[in-house]
Amino acid sequence: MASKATNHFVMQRLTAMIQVPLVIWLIIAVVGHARDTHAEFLAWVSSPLTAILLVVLILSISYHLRLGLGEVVDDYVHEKKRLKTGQTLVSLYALAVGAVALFSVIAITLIA
Amino acid sequence: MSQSSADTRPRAAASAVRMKRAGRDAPLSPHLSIWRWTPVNTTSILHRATGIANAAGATLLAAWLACGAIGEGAYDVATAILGSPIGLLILFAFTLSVIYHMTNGIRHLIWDSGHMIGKAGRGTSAYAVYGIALVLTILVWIAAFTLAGA
Repeated sequence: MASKATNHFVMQRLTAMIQVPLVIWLIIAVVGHARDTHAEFLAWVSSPLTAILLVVLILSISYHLRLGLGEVVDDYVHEKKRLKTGQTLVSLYALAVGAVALFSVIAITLIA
Repeated sequence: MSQSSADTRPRAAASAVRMKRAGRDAPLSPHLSIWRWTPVNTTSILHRATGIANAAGATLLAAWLACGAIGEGAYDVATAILGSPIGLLILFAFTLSVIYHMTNGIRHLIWDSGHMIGKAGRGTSAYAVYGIALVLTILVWIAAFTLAGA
């Protein structure tokens, strides 16, 4: 991976390819679990297959959204200082979403 | 000889100006008002719009999982909000946004592999993406409401 741009290109596609089957799985699973009681929800999330798929999906999504939102900021924020601030905010958002989701899955597997 | 040096001098000066500018500010992409809207370029603009929406929707996923982790009270509040008419409307829009971004994303991956790049492939695949995204979203919600009735 020679440059930053090549790395961006490859990681954006890699995370996209990981997410195609996982997002299809999540949509079907959520439709099936939409009316779960709390106990049923905990049992579902903490089952090994669900937990591992959620962890992979969360990591992939937070990376992919950081790259994507970063591109939008790149395209529309002109001034250099603001551009840097924008990119930092995007990174913080991705980190926050990923950390909360990841911690929740881990916590559920531990309490359930 | 003299001709070539006359050619390069202004070009070098222009590129120096450009370099100087690049050091200060990044170049801008044209804003939405610049484009002429066609079915094909709309797929691209929608890809970005749904990407932003999905990034915002990721908060919903994180919040749902967090409420589940916090406890039964928080989980019941979350499912009550998501199951309310406004919640269902947001979830429907989120489903459409995710499925559109995924379908058009697959189109991008096909392009990256060097296929369907011609004018015909571009146009046909644009309509295919609109159709597939809409049909899949409706199927998901038919399944959801069928399960709710059962």
